[in-house]
Amino acid sequence: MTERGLLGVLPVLGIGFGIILILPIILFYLNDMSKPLFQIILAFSIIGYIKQMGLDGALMWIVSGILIYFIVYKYIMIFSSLYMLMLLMGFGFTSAIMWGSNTVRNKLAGMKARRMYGE
Amino acid sequence: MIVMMDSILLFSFGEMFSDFGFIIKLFLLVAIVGFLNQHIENKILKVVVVLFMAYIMLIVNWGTFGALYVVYAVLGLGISSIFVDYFFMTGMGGDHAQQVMEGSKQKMYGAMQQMDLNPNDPHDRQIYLSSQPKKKKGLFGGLFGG
Repeated sequence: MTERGLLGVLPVLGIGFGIILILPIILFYLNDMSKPLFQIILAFSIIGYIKQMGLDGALMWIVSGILIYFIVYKYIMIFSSLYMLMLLMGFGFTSAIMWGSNTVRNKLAGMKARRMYGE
Repeated sequence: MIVMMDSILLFSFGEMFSDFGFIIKLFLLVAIVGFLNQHIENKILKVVVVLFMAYIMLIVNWGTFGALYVVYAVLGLGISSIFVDYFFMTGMGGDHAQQVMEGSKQKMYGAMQQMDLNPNDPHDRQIYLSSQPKKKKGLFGGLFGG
């Protein structure tokens, strides 16, 4: 039977991405002004996207308004995390998260190996 | 009380999922309009085609096109890079953590057989482990830079 490391790949990745995903929520609780700031950024991102798709006039404001109500006001906790993930994916930072979590996992496996096999 | 909590949770989850469905529908509508804005100059024709496509995609075949749009949006955001990294991590050259464990195990078995100890006996294993010199641990018990 092959020996496994302390943690599997998926749990370590889940922890790595989970930490990134709860960062905005932690920020909201630590700093009161971060939430409206995030909401402004999200609102302008939505309006920019709708404009970029070629909608203008009343239709643009109606669609933007509905989306802003749901995304920026009603489900801000969920969408702020998703927006953070989207930003990180845009910068290609997810590769760094994968690399970092895998390095921690290998270190944990090394520590377990030292404890079990005395290397 | 538990039944009430369950119904509250189920209700809020149902509401959340229906809201998310509505948000995806709006995004799909905007994507259709954006796509046709790039390809059709004539305004009347544009409105007719938008209405036709929106009817087919949002009303008639929403199940199929909604799922396809979610996949399209997620791929557009670059989720494929996560899959590529994941398969590199687990596929190429095998699992490194597993190799570390296997290598240490083989090393210990070899060393114990040289010392005439039985690797499968827990008592012999304790003797072997206590004979090993203690290494100085780094920051956080050797997790970082150990």
